[in-house]
Amino acid sequence: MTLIYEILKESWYIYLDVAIYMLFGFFVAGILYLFFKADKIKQYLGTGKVRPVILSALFGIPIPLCSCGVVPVATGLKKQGANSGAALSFMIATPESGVDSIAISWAMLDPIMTVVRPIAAFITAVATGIAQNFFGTEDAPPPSIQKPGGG
Amino acid sequence: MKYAYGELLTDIAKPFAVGILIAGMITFFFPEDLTLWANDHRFLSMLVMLIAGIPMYVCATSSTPIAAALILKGLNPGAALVFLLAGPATNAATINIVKNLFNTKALFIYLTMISLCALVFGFIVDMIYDLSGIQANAIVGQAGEIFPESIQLIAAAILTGLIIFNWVARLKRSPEHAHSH
Repeated sequence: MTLIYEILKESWYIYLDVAIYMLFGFFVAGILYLFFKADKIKQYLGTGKVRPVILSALFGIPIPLCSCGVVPVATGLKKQGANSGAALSFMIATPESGVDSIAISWAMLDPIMTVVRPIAAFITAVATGIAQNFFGTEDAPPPSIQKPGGG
Repeated sequence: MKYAYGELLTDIAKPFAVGILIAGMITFFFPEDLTLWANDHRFLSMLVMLIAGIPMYVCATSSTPIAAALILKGLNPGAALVFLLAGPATNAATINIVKNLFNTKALFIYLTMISLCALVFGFIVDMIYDLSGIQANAIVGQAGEIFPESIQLIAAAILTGLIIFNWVARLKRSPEHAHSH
C-alpha cells in the first residue's frame, strides 16, 4: 500500500512541475492548428528529390501529432502526389517533436535537450527522406508502368 | 483552441498519464545511482534504449517524463536522447504501416536511418555535456521549479479539470461514434 502511495506521490510531483508547460504547449498547438491544416501541406511542398523532403520535415517539427495520428496525414500526403521521401520525412519529424513536447522538454529536461530534440528530429527526417528518394524504389504495389532504374 | 484543449488534450492525456506513472515508478524503484554503470557502458546503454524505444508506443510528450526520470537516475543524456528520438518515431504499428504504405526496402531505410541518427545524436549530446562540463542530472528539471507551488497547483488543477471535462464529453458522445478518430 505504501508502495503505491510512494509511486503516486512521485508521479504527482512530476505532474505539478509539468502542468503549466502543458497548458502553454496546447495553447501554441491550437494556434498552429488554426493557421494551417496538416492535410493541406502538399500544396506547399513543390517537386524534386530534396526540397519537398526538407519542407515536409519543417512542417512536421512543430505539429504535435503522435506516431499513430500522423499516419492518416502521411497517407494523405502520398495520395496527393508527394514522393515517398517527403511522406517518410513527415512521418518521422511530426511524432519526434512538437510544440507541446518542446515546452515539456524545457520543463522536465534542460535547455540543451530542448534545443537538440527538434534539431535531431529534423536531421533524422531529412536524412531518411533523402535516402528513400535516392536509394528506395517508388511503390512496388501499383501495377502502373515501372520505369527501369526509376529509384 | 477547441481543437487544442479538446481533441488534442484528450488524445495525449492518457499516454501522458501513463508516461508520468512510469516515470514515478522509475524514480521510486530504480537504484539511486546508474551513473557508474552508464558511464562505463555508454554505447551499451544507448543500444538498450534504442531497442526499447523502437517498438514502444510513446509520443514525444509522454516519453519526456520517462527520459527525465532516467537522467535523474544517472543515465547518460545521450542514451536518454536515443530513447526520445526512437521511442516516438517508431512503434510496432508504424513499422507495419510503412511496410504496407511503401515497401520493405523503404521500411529498411526508415529503421536504419532512424537508428543511425539516434545513435549519432546520442554521441553528440554526450559530447556536448562532457565538453561543457555540465552534469545532466544536476540541471534536469530545474525549469519546472521556477514557479511557486501555488501557481503549479493552479495549473495542475486547470489541466486536470480540462482532461476530466473532455473525457466526460467524449463519454457522452461515444454511443454514436465510438471510434471516430
